[in-house]
Amino acid sequence: MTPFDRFLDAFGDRLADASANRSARLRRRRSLVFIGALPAGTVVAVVALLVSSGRQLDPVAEARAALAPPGEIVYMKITSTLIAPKTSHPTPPQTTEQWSATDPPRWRFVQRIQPGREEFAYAHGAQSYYNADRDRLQVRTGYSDRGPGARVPSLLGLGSGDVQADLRSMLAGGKVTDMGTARVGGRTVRRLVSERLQGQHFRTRLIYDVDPRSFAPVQATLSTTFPHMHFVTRMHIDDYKRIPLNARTVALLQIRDECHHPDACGGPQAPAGEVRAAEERPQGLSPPAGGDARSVTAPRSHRSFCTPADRRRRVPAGGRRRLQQEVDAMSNAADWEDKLQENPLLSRLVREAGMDDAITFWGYIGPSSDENTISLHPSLESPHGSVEIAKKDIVHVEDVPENILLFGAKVVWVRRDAAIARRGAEPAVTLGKMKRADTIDPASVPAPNLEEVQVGRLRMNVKTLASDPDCHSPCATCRDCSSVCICICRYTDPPA
Amino acid sequence: VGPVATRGVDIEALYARHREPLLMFLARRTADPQVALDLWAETFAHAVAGGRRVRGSSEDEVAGWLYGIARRRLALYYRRGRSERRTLDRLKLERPAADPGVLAEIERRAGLGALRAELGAALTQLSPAVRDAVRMRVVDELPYPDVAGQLGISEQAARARVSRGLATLADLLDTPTIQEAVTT
Repeated sequence: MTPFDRFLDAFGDRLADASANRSARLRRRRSLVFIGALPAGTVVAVVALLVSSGRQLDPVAEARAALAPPGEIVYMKITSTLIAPKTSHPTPPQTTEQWSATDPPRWRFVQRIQPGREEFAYAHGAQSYYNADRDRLQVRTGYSDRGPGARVPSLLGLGSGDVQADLRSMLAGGKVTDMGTARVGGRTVRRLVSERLQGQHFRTRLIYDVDPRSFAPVQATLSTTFPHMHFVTRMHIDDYKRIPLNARTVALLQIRDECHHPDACGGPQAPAGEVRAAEERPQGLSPPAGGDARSVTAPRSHRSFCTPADRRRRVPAGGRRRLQQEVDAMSNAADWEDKLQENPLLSRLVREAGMDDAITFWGYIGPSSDENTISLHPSLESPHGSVEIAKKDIVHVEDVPENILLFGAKVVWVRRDAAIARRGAEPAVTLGKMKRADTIDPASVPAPNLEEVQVGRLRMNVKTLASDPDCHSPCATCRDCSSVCICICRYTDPPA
Repeated sequence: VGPVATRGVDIEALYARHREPLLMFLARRTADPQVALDLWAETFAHAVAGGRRVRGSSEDEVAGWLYGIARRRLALYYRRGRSERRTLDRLKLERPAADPGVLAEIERRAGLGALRAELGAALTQLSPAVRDAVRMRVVDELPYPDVAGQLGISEQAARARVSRGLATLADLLDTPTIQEAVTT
């Protein structure tokens, strides 16, 4: 062999290595394609671990076979919080649900971001991503059930989806360290720690707390350190259970139109309202049973199940969101029942005063000249305008939420027959007893928004524009367009 | 060479089949073994990076795709006066250093001695101004502003002279590539 041939062979070897590295990198990248929209904390955690490890869990299959037989679905609900000290906009906690099964491997993630929902799934060589807000379903085919694309992304890397099995195998393989037991939230947990260093600057430390006996996950904390950044992702396992895999529950592993699923809508016996909701949902989003030919005709091609006809059938985005919220509520019986609880404030008002006998005033409580009355100002901008309400006539008081009125406004429930005095820049005017609208004598009611006009011999009363109460706010009709309104207009309506 | 697994192109087979012909192809179009090696290595690096985008499946189609990459690298070299190594860097791929024996073998196999004689004869046919511009740009690898500065002309005029000179030499080198280089 000549030096020239050795030179060519040497470069060929380097070229082969570069090609192999690139192929491995692309395979990892493809596995992460649909992880992009997982909760921010999860993304940092999962990507950090995948980048740092670059390996899959080799002994997982054996442990999985022991712990998660083919007839089960492993379900997990996680609430994750990303803590990034140097960011100005903290990420709110986000919830992710996941279902996974083996033989063949299938999994589905559901991430709810109000008011939308995103889903990720793998089954039969295809990764799917569904964006409910945009009604888009993308399917990538060409994956192998034995490849990384079929593995379930998690804090532990690409695993089986069964955290118990993965942690046991990692512990057996020396990839996590058993730090003994610890107390978390009043219970004893077993603490497993994994630390990885990638290069000189990128470091991750994962602390996984599990049940000491069963290894069922309880919570996890992942610290990710870059040269100039440090993230902490806290994950709490809200629910972790095994569900029998059968003809009914297999749908949990598939991205689907939830209203077509018996778990969501109650099947053929669904109430009329639920059926209506199902009919209003855009059709064509679910892969038909047995797969859709469009999704598998080309390997790794992006496909959407939305046809032009589907788009025409869509309801408006806002309507979809509301509909989705309704369906989401239907899909979980526990949530639905929780929402049937009585409103405690309403119960108290009915019990203490009776709703028919109370009206509300909104405003700010100011100084009062009489200790037996309160002075309620409609706005902080008008300290001289107020209403005086006798304390004995007040039924109830609540703080107005800050997102409606700032700086401590109150809403006051007052008996309908209370004596209310209105004060302004002018001397106080007694407005008299409040009466029901149908008992008011038109002749006795002052008409401050009417003005007498004389044109020639004709004299008439016309409405003055300046005093026309045409402002709308949470308390219905208003005295004027100030930031707070008072229901004075209820008894100052001009006669018909 | 170990087994290479890329879905689009079998890089191992491609390299085994074209490693030497492609190097000779580039050497005869640059008359410089070092430049030819740089372009050759960059071409195969491109093949690794873009192997999944190949549409053809037959050997001829894949070969056409590889030589298309080489022609574009060559045209870029003619236009800019230097060989790029971006893809090599991106893949962290370093070509081995070529010792004098390797360079001499490339000269011999590519027949660069005879080619240079022909080029020299062709250069004498060029006017002195054009010849200087071609020499500065292609041989000395000076950027166009420097060529223009040394010749005391505008950069546009320098480009025009180099283009005319390369067009004259096109019959000896690679007409399509030179045309691509001077028109793009």
